Amino acid sequence: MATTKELENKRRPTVLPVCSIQEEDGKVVLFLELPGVEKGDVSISVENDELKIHGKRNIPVRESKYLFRERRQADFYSSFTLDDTIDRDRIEAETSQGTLTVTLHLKESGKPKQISVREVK
Amino acid sequence: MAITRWRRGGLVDPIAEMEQLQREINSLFDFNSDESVTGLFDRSTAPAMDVEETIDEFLVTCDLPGVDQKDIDLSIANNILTIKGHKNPRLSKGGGRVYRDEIWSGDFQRTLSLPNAADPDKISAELRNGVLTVRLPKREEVKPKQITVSVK
Repeated sequence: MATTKELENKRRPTVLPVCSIQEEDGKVVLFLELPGVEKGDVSISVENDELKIHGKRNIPVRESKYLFRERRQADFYSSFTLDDTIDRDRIEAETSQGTLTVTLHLKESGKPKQISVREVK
Repeated sequence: MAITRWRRGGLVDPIAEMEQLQREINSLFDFNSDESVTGLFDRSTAPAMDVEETIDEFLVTCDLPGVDQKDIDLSIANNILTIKGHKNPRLSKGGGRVYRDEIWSGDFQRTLSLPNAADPDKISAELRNGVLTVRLPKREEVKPKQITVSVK
């Protein structure tokens, strides 16, 4: 069911943010570029197996004439499917310089395990 | 093209000259060539920007996500605004497995000829959430003025 907030956001056009993903030391780190999005305007939610990231862009309204306009005036939206190895309860996010960093921790069971082999004589 | 290679040989070969010219013209359309050595200002990577004019100032807005403030070099010379800088790579080298790598990194540069009405001495710039906003107030003499005429 779509909440009121989602409906409100749907009216504005959205673009897919540029994204890099790297797995390191038992965690998966997502970097998303959200220029012009304030910390409070980022919403991250996990629904079933879907990680949804929405960034509302703060477009200032002022009395002006555009001499040229190349930046896209749109919000950011991206969604990712999480598999069973991701710990849903340990998702951290932070923003700096217009880049959102989302850290997903792997479950202990999802980490690679070394199994020692015994030699039976 | 700052340096042209010296070609040895005493005789001028008109066919070779034409072929050289053709190669040079073709290379202008070669968008995939090494970005560090092409372009008028030696950089082909330029950030997208908006330029707005309000009653008393010009506003230049530029998306520079993931760029440190110290890595941005903003300068004005002869009424030309230059925004240049460097963006560091986001992913750690030699780290874990990379699933996606879409974030660009490297050097960028963009130049903009300013309108005469802009006052380069009063420039101010602000970097917030990866968006650079440059404010250029207009010169006092071009601002619309309210003149009151007293009638006697």
